Amino acid sequence: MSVNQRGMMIFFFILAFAVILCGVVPFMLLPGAGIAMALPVIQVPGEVYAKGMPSPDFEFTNTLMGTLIADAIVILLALLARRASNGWTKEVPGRGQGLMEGFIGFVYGLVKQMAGTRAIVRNLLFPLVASIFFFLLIGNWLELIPGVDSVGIMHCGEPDKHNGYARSGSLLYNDAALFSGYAVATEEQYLMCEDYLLGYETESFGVASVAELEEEVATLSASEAEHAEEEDDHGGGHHGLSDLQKAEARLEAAYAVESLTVALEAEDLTEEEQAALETELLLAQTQIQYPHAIVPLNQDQIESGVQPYGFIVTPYVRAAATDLNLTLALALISFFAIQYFGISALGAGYFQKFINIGALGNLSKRPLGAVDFLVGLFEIISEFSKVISLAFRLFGNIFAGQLLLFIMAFLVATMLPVIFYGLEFIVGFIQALVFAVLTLVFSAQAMEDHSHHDDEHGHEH
Amino acid sequence: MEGIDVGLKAVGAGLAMIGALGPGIGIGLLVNGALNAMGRNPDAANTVQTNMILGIVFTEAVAIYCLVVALIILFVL
Repeated sequence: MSVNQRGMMIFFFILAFAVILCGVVPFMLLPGAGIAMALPVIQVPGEVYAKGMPSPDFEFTNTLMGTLIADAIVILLALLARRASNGWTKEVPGRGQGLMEGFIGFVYGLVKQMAGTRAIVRNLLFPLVASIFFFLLIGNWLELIPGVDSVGIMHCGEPDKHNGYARSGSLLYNDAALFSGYAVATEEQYLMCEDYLLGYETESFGVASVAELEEEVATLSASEAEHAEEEDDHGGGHHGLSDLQKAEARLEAAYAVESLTVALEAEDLTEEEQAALETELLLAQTQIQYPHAIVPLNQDQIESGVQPYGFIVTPYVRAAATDLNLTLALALISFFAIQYFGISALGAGYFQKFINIGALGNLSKRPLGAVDFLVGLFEIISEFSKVISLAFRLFGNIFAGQLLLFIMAFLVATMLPVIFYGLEFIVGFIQALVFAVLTLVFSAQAMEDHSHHDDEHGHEH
Repeated sequence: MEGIDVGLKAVGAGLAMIGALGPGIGIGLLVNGALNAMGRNPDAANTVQTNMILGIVFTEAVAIYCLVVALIILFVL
């Protein structure tokens, strides 16, 4: 088979695979999922999904999970490299060792080029730069793995905060493309959603007429009045709506259905008014079966098990650098490392870079040295701007990339996101490299000796 | 999410991203200078390339600041 024929065959296999995965699987094998994807929740800070361990205030976010996974992968790679080289004693490197040596050699070449080969560079600067580079590389590439940022825990959207979707079984249900969800508006809707989530209620309450509902409300309020003295907290904290409140909500919905049916029979309705009233009617009819429902559903959907409250999915894992805490922490580590390298190479004379006492002392010989003193003060500001720019450059690139992947997958589920995957692959590598190289460059600049420059100036003049 | 404040937030985010115009032009000028230098002196290509990447990183940071402001307007405010 010639090269072109083989390429053609591989291309058709890829095409068939993509069509099956994006066409057959969502629409035929997972029927409850609706015809459009629901967008996972977008929130700038990391989302918390577990609390309480090891201390009551500790919140375990999904970016922390991403950090731990990236840590584990980097350590695993290091251990594998050690095993592949038999504890770094092998005479002729095999393939695994050769691969690792290629990567490490690349980083070491950069370090040698920028900072030389002194002992402190070999023992402290190179490990720091290489650690930052590999950790960020793996952490940034983690967001490309399927499952990261998409598989997650389903819970109720908090009032006034998140856009929720209906759910059917364990999948979010969304039957309108490009729809970003219903807002969870009130406390009661949130409590009802929690009931269904935690399993206190499992089915719809069923269709009922106004008369039946009025009867139910009457019986329940009577029994409430009887049990008013004995009523206690049901031993342990289920603070949902009571049966009476649910029945009252259903009754109000039944009244709304009546009045809306009457309103729809009016003669001079425009198209828009008619459509709006019909949606309200559908919502009220849904609210009879599911008190305080948010999503209007028709009878077929209710019978197939769709629950009309505001559910959202929070991913289990999110790429580490999408959390500003991590990028700021790494930037602060770099900042302190740069100062440490400067002090260890130049001693106390390192602070001459900031408070240029030499220029003040030389004022009689070189009066323009006062400018050098002011420049030194500006250096202090630029040190802090380095921290901010390192943190925000990494955060902005990776967070924006993750957001782009979300939204691309939501818009066009089939072939377009592949292009953005390629972009994210490159951007992840470049941002990891840039962070590490900037730390390296600033450290090398800090270790340079400034007094030689002044002597050179003196000789030239 | 309804109402005029959502619309105004969107307008604010859009206006914030106009600031990415500057770094776009800046990076173009940088690479222009670097390519000229590499063409005149191919032996120095590595040094020029390293310094070009450094310069690009600093100018791109300004664009990232704009993006961060836009994201804050959209998702935090």
